[in-house]
Amino acid sequence: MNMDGPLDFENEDPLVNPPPSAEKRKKVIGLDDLVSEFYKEKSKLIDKGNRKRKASKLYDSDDDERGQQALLSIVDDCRNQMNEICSEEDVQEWGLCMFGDQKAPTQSLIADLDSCHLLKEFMNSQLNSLVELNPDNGTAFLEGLLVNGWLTKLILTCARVETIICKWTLDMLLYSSKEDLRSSACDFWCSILLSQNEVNGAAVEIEWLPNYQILNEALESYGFRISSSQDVQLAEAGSKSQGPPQNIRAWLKFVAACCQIRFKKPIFTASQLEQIAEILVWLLLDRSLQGLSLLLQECVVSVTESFKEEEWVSSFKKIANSLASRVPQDMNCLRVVESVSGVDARSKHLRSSIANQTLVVLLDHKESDEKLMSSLMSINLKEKSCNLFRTYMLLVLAENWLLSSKMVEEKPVLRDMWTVFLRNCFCQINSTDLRPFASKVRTKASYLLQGCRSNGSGQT
Amino acid sequence: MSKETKANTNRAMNTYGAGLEANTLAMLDSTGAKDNRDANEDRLQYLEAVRAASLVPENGIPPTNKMYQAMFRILRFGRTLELVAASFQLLTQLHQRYPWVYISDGKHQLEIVDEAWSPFCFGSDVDSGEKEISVRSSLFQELIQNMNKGVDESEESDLKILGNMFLFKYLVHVLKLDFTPRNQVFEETTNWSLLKESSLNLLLASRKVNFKLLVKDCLSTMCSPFDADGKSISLVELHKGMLSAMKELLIMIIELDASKKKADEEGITNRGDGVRTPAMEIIVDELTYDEYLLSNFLQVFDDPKLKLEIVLQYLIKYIPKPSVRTRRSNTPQTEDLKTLNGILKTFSNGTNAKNITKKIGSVIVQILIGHAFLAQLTISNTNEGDSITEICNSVIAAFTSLKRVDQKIEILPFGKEVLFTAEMVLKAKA
Repeated sequence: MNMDGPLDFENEDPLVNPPPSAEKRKKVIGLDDLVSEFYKEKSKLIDKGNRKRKASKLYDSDDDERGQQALLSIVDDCRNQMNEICSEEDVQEWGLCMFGDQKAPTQSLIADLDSCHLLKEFMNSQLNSLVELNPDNGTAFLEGLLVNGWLTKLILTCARVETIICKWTLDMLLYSSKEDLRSSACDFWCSILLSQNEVNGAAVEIEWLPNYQILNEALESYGFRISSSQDVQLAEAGSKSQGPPQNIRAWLKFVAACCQIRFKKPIFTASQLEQIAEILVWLLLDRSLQGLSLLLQECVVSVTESFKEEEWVSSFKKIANSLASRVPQDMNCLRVVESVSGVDARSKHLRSSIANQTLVVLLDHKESDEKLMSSLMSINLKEKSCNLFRTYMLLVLAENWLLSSKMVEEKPVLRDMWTVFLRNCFCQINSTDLRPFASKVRTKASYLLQGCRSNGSGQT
Repeated sequence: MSKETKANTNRAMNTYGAGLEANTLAMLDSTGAKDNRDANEDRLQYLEAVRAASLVPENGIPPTNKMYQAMFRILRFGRTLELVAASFQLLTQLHQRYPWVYISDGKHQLEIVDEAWSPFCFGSDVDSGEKEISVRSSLFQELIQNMNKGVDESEESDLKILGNMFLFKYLVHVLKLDFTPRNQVFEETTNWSLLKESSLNLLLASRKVNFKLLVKDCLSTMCSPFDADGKSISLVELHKGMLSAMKELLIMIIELDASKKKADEEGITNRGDGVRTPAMEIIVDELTYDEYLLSNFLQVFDDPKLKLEIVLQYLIKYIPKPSVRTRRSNTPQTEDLKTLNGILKTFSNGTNAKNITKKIGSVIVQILIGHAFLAQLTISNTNEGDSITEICNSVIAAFTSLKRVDQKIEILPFGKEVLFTAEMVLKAKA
């Protein structure tokens, strides 16, 4: 195949001849028009049939009866065919249901507040005659302090917090069913954790820090379905389940804060961070958490940024590997890639790597990058049996693998192979091809080919 | 993320931009014949394509105004939560990467990108195509009123409510990105025209906005109760985000008022700049005599400096005028009343405490002192060395004085928390 020769569509490259904006834009591909025209033709046929039927009714003659029947059956055939074509939908949606039923937490963090130093010390003071704090109203009083923000300010000012308070507030954060308690507890923890990063302010001395186990147990009690040891067993979206409690929001913010202070106070090991990163991506696959997508993606950034450089070089591969081998091979695997924002260096890295690993899994391939690309190039899209949905996934994955990283700059041969693959996708699929996903593959390839050209000319 | 300052090769960029515009927008073009799901899929593809072109590459191509407009259209009219959230995120990330107003490094000078895209439109000379998408002053006010309607009474669908919250959050974000650098440079240079042209000022100066109503709507939205039980996780999270956006809006308005006052005093404003009651005054008026509003507002509004100022403005109205008392004191009393400590000291005088309590009630007194103390604790945390122990002592003295004046005065749970905190801070600092 001549890789350098121009293709017919390249003559109308809008980069070379930017279209005047006032005019109606020239479509990159008029395929959709062709499809709709095709449908229009068919429906015209049906209309004609209908009209004929009506006309024949006017005569109401028996002779026409047979002809009418025949016509009707043709019309029916047409309809059925059309329905068949239409039902082979081009749209598949991502979405998994990550949460089953909630369970009671296995152990409570709450200790007896009687031994709380903070409360005891005040009870001994003279001022208690006005406040009337006693062991019976201790919990209620502490709740008030927490909700109104006093506890946070007090601890930040005193720069020290005792174990009992740490455990009690974390229990509120993870398990309280009252919104004001859990969100205040979350503010409390985020403030004292982030005080560790303050340059001028005094870092709060925290007597007790939680570990990964506690957070993981909480997540399991919320009904989260995937634990690191288990194989993936996922219900499809739409199956009825309770979903996680509101505490999941506090959980996420807390985990992010823990990550943000990792250089000062490591709470998680590198392998635990890998698991957290994976959990976050799984959560992004749950449509019931869509309103949290920004929070989730910020968390992903906090986690990836908290790896030390020497940890990251091996960790990002492990995260990518694990995700790629466990995610269902449908739209969900594209969503996984797209849920990593690709804005900062590490998330670009991760995005590229997940895409690459998913390609490896889909193509069952463990050899070099070049081999991977050549097996993409060898796909024959003209073949009737060629699964174009799969090709579409491969196309998007390869795009993210190559373009989210400096891969093509480092290995120019990959760029050339990529271009060939794109041309195959464009040229081997006819614009009137009605197979599902044919139009998607073709449109996407055509768009990406434009990018190849502009990049190429941009660098020369 | 690196800020992409002035496009180094402007012309080349424009060519790429036009090509990118044509290619990406073509994805949206073909939606005519398609059903909803296909159209939504196309929109997602469009957003991904813009991300891939403008954000992912190190030397990405900034989107053209038409491309921004298309993204904003998806944010405003998107029919799925996925679309709305994705466009919100993409737009905010793009603004961070390609700011339209910024302070140039080291030069303390404001750089403003010419003819940058904005979701707002305040002029009248806009072509009809953009009119329906751009946000005008009246729509912004309407949006705030919608937020105020509350989530419960509204008959609108969940998506509509969530969409409005995303939209509001985004608009406030844009106002802030535009206002903050302008105000910062104004503070250094007192160049009023920078602020005069800020989106926030243009928005509020519009005759279509009822400023007082806007501030009042913000107040009542922030103070209305919200029950998280039985609501979706998304809704609760977005409601929180909406409230903090509203808080940011109020803070910006108050800062703009302050800068305008400064400009007025310098005589660099003119009649065209108009007059409006400062937001702070409106707030203090609204809170006066409304125990419920006062307590809720101070709970939600946690900017320590402004909160302290609101409380001080409130209290000052009821503190005996210094002129009456100057006989006995050598220090200038008016100066004292500018600080919390000064005001607290007036409470230690039994007659004063009695008078003030009589005027505004013991409940409100406790709420005011408590929140001022809370704000003061935050401020003292950041700048060490202030007499925090002195303030704790004054707070305790003020409360004991209240109780001494009238034994029947009930100390609120909130008041007890104030005393507890003051005492424990003293013990820690001792």
